Amino acid sequence: MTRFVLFILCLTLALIEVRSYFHNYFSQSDRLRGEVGKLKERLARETLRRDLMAHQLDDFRQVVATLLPEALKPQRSNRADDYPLRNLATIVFEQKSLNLGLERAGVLFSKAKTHFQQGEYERSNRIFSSLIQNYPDTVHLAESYFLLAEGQFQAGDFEGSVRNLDAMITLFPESSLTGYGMLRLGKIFESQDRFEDAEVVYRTISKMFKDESMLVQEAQSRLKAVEL
Amino acid sequence: MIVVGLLALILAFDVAHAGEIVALPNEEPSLVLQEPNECLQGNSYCAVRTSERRKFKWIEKSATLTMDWQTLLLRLEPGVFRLISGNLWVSPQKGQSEILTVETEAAQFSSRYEFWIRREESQILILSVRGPVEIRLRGDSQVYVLESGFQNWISRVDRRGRAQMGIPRAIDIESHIEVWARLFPGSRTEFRAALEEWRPIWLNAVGLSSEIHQELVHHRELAMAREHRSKKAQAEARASENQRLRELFRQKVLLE
Repeated sequence: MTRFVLFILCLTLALIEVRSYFHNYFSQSDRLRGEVGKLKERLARETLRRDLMAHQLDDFRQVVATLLPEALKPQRSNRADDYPLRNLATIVFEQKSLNLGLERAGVLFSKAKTHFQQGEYERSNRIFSSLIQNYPDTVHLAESYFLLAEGQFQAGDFEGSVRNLDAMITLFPESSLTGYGMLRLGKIFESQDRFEDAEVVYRTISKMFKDESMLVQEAQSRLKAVEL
Repeated sequence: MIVVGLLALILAFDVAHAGEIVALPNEEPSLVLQEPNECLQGNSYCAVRTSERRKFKWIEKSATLTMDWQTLLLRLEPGVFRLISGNLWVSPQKGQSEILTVETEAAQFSSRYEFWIRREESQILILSVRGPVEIRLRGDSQVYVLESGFQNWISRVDRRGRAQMGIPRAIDIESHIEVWARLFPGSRTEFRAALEEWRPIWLNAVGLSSEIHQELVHHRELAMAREHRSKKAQAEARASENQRLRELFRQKVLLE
């Protein structure tokens, strides 16, 4: 009996071995494993090559970035073949061009003010209008509105003047210059026989600009004249 | 009966293994990937990449370069390397080695002492462990020196055409020890001893770093005071300009 059991066990083991051999032979799993391994290795190698090339490109970009400020110096000629560099310059020196713009606004403001002081209102009005439109960030904005409104009044353009004084009241309600502008607005209303509007304006000045004694004094004197 | 039972067992075993995922033999480490193949032995150009959770020691001249997990390092020529990704620890074989240079796209680091480099998303961190490291920034001819126990960051070339560098400060001990422990070649006891030995260097750097920052704050305060004075002068100039304008308007509006 024991011999029989041993025989059966040996036979079973032999059968397992034979089955395993034939299974591997017919399913080709060893070969497939090998192929997958090779493909994986190839993929890793290709990834490495790709990363090395990407690094070369990145390194080249850094070299270009090092040379760019020299190439973009302003004294370069403006030839057509410089276009790509000039195009790039508009991006690289963005901050600088912004500063230049603000400096330019300062120059324009001085120029317009000179024309205003010399009584050349048409010219000063043109420059102030362009300044307000093109450089809304300038520190001279309130003064520009003010001088433009006054210049327009002097040139007889009452409508334009009222429009700009209105903008001033909206944008700079606390500026003392706005107070003087409002005084001018009241006078325009008076000249147009709009006494009620003028009265409202003078009352507003008296209420809003208490610290500007001369302004309040003038507003109250105009108010009395209007009430009469 | 027994035979039939055994045959049934074999059949069940066969069925159970029919859908099993095949284990790939290549999972066993080839330690690193080399490009060109087997280039580590030579002296010429060689790219080496470590895999996930596997560090690698590259012995070059008299120094050892320990590459962290997933690190890509190039040997451009003997003694000159380029770190593309990951962390790299450079240590001399016996206290001091020949000068070894490691480059990145933004800067070049040269030293004969122990230092390490960590690559982060947008910047490179250089940490001098023992002894000075010379730093040459791209687009800048000046040579900067990072003293032992200090770390600094370097960023890419900016619109001014040069790479940027921060202010040196004492090494951030936590992240430093974490990487050091991972890359340290010896046992735990040896690591503890090395750490104890290094501690005075770090403490010295902390003291110096504090002095540098105090001086910086002082300079910044002076600069702020200067700026304040300049702003005040500008405000005064503007006030006087406004006064002149008001006068002009008084003349125009009130006295016409």
